[in-house]
Amino acid sequence: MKKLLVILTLLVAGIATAQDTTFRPPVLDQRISISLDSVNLQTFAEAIEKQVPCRFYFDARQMDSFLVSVLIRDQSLQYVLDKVFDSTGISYVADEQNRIFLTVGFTVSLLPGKAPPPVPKKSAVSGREVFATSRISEVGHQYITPTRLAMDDNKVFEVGLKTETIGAGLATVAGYVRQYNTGEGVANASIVLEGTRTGIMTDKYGYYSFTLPKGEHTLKVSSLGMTDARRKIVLYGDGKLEIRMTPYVASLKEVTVIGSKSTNVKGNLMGVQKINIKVAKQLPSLFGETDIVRVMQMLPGVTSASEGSTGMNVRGGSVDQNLVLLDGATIFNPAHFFGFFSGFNPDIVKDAELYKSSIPVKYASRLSSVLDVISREGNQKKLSGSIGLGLLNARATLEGPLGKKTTFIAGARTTYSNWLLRALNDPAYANSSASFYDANLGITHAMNERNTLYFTGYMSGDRFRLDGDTLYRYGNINGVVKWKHNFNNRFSSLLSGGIDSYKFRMESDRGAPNDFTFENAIKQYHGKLDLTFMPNAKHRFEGGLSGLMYDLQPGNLAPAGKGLTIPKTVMPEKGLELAGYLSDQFTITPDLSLHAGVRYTWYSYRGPRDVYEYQPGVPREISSITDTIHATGNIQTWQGLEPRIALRYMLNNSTSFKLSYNRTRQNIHMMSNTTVVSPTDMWKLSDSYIRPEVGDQFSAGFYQNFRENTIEASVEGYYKRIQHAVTYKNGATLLLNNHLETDVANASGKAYGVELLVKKTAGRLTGWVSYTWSRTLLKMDDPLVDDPVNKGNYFPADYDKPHVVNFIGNYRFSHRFSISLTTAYSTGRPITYPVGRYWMNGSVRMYYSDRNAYRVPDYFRTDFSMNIEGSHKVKKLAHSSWTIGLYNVTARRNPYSVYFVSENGRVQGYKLSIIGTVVPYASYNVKF
Amino acid sequence: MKKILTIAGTILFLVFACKDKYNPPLSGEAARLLVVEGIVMGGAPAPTTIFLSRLANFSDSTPRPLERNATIQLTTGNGGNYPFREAAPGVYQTDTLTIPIGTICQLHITTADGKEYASDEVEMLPATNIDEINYLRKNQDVHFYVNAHGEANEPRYYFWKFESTYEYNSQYFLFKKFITADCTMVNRSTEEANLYYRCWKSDPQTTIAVASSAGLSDNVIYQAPLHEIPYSDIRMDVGYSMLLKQYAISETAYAYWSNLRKITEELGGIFGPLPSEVKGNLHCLTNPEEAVIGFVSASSEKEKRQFFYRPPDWQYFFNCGLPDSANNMNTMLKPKLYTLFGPKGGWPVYFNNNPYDTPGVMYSRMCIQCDLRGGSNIKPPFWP
Repeated sequence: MKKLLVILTLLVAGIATAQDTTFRPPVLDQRISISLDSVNLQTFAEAIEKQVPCRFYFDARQMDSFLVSVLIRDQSLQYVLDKVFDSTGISYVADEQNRIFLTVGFTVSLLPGKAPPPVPKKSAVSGREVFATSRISEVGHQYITPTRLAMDDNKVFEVGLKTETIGAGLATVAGYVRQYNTGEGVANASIVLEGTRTGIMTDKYGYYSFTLPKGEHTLKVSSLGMTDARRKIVLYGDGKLEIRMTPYVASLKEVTVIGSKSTNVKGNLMGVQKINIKVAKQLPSLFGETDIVRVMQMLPGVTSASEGSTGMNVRGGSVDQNLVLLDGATIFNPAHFFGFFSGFNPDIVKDAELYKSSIPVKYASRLSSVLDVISREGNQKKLSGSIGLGLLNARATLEGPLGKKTTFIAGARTTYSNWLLRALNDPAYANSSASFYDANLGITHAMNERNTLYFTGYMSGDRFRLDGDTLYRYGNINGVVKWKHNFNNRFSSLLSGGIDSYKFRMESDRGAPNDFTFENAIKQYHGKLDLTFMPNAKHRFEGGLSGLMYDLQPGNLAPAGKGLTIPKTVMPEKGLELAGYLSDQFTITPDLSLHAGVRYTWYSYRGPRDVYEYQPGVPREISSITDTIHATGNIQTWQGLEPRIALRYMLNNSTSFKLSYNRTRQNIHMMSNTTVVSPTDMWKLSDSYIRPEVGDQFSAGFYQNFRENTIEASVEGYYKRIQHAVTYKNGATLLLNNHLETDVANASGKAYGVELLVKKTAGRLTGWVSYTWSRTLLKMDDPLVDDPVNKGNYFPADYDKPHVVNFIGNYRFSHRFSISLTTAYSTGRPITYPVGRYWMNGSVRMYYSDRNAYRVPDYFRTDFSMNIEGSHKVKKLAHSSWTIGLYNVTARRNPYSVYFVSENGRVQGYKLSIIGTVVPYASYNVKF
Repeated sequence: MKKILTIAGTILFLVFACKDKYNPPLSGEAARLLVVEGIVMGGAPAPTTIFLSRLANFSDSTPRPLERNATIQLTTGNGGNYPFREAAPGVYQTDTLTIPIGTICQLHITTADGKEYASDEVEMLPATNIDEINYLRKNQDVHFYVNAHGEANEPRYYFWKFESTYEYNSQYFLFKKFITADCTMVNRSTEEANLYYRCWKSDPQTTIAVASSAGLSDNVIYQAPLHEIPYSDIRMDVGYSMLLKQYAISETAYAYWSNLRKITEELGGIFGPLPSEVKGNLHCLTNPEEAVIGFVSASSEKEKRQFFYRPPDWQYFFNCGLPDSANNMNTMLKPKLYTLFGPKGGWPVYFNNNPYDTPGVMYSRMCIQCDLRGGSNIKPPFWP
């Protein structure tokens, strides 16, 4: 089948054997069983060729948008072909030599002198009960087959300096995989040497480098949302090859491929999940605003303490143990509107990748996971944009080329949510307001083939006020510049640097003596050099150096207006974190590969700052302070190695087994004694008393794909140990505290679980079902705490939810209409209930004892959405789409918390649900 | 500023959130810890009262388990040793003592089961003056507050106790009285009618009221919240009198009370704090592992009484029933009057409580006799 290029007329001319009119090629009587879902003709043909000694000939250019879904058992080949091509406009003919020719728009007769059969009609109705469906009839007029592209599939490319004879040894082919229509690099595309399991992946920018024996090869390129491409090359020596891929159906946001094709089996790393924004956009969302972080929360191993929170708890880690990156910039507070929205504009974001187990060594120090959100690059071809309108907010994007080498993308979002507060018939909310905005800017400048510059800027702001009282504001500002340089095909570098900052401010100005302003801020300067070296197909080395400078203003209280507040400033904190890292992705055999890396982190807590000294061996309290030293320069150093190893063994082409061990260290901690992240939460650096957190994770997984990689199934188990987690003593004061060591305590934790995931990535129905069983337990084992929580025994963490079942599904009725359903079930989160009651100060009061000994009732939610696209005429000025949905269809009042209060002398229990009703929404999007 | 967390969550709360009453089945067993409550009085001659009780299981609906037959001693730094006697079950009182400001005080408790307890040593602190007691209207509700101040060197942590009394009235005023003996209708004296009409009831404190000026350059307390009365509540319907007592407490006492307020009165909310107990200043000497609930302070007392009239827009409805019409009461024949207002009849009232409106007969006693509703018809001496 590697020889499909066909010029039919020639072939037909070559078939001249006289035949009996009743002749029927015997090959068509062979019985086969076939089960495929939305595969292209190529795959379909290959599947048949495996069972029947035949060969298909067709013009891939004409038919590459034709997808086949078929499920037939033990029928003749003729039956299968009739079924598949019925009413599709494709006709087939077979000859004695077991060749099967497929044609579109004309028919051929293999019998001399006999008129060819009539051209079959395309059916007006597509996809009746037939097992096979065709896209041709539906998309015919708008489907752009970039002729040149399809030609590329058949053309032979010469890579390297052409020589008479092909030499021995290895050579490297490298270049970018780009999207045909926009020129944007295609990240994580897999390039596999056809017929083998040898393959590589493109990096974030679409760059790849593949070292192969010199000679003829066929490369199969596949990526999320793209039509598979293949390139025939003759490798003479090192050289460049740019590969352009077309999106599945050009200009349609509709193609449903969830997850990267077959990377779960073949990828080296464990616990990596990638969500494309296109997937997220089809799914129901709260208030109609697509939120990639909320889709992440539906993955196994990811939970959230509350419905109104975009904070993630990954495999038992707390929210601050996730590194949230936007194109390499750390977003300290990726939440808007009290956590109901994440800070990522869905029109800017391309995809997001979550590393929950194997964290590549290049990523800086956070304990549990890295969420790497990648924004799109601007369109290289033309100026275009989009506008989205929802119930609470609106967004706009503009992108396009700036000259020949530069592209830009800019986007902004803002709210008009105040109407919601006004609409409430409660005077308390008439004077309230809440709003947010965010803005993104991305610039890509391709200086030349070897050098590309990238700039990403991000800014966000939130402000809210309740009942004309205190005004709260917070926001992020981030800027990062990256320079990608390719020394040669095997060696490339990425140099980046930037500033990340977060600021929180509240002010109360009522003309009262206690008027105040309060601020806290964090700033971080980072620089990084990443190097990638691929000496041959067996090794891929990545190494680098990074430097990170922290500058924290933990709190600053000042009077406002006529206020008498005594100004108070918590001493600023500074820290320096230097790291070096090296990893090798070693393909020992095509079946066995090892990804081994190590990261070394050196961290220094720096002055000038007052450092308190305490009596040794007694609990740290203000009363046990023995001395205050004004320290400058290095105050405390912490350092350590972080080995990270992953091993993959492929049992066969669609089954693999993986093992991994990962150590992570974290030097910056979020101080929060509330269940969910709140904007007042501030950050704290490791110092002489608060040690870096250390996490060790062991995991093992089994991966199996079915039906041509369209169904991915996996089981992963993990055990994680956390040392020096930060917890708080009872009644801890975190705000404006110059000596937090008196209020926090070291704890250790353990988390373990098993995650099951079945994902369907292609076809009309796509989505996943996952089940997770996991536990997260903490223990306050600090010897310097005389009254530890739960007497120093293990207690469940706030986000410990043993059973979690998630379902996400999208069913596409046509190119213009699809429905989605998501369902989430989880065990209720742990909660501390009172054990006793007593009378004090005129009221019955509650006495609490063991922390998190009880659970709130279980959580269950179902959301539904409908996606309706406008017509897809290519020449139409703008393409619009509607999304209509219902959040929490069953209106179940999922309890966020159960709590007790003393009211009028009595104790009353309450169950609080954050979204206790059905929330309908509609959003309108237009692209031009 | 402490309210930030609850406030932040509150906005979206009311939009989509729901708060339902819910009492999950709880079976936790609590140790029967000793609960100690009281302030050692000083600065002026006064007795000190200490309340002892026990912690009960949360799920139990038992009345307050009072701790009886304990021995309590108050020792002072200058060698004083004052016993308490059990004035009522669980209520222990000293004689009238005058403990000077600055004295170090300590409580020693021996319970009937022989266990010994002691408080930390606390200093007798001077209470500062109350400046103003008033209320704010927020969404029509009444929020009582106190303003106070002290000298810069005086204690900066304030603790308040208050006892309030409110007046409420019957729905109908008895202008007339039926004399059964001669079947006549006569005017009733206002004093006599008031015994049916005006009643007073106490509104006990159920909240913890503490505040601090420690973060301010001046020792001023501005609008520290005391108590709230929701709109259209009976308590503000006629008049409200609050007797506020102000005490000075230490910083650790303030931390104890404000945490207790947080975990027992202010839980809930998206960003609500997690409940965690803060230790008081009492210890069990017999078994150091055993926790003791409560915080004993020592302070002089300043008090102020403030009277509030009904806010003009206050609307309270006690709808106990409508009278039947007795339109021609004035011209009615005696047998008819006897039937309507005699021993088996009702009470003569006027519609809308207006003697110029239509007369009527009221059969429900609840509508005319206020002390049936729990209060007393004896006017308190401080009532204006």
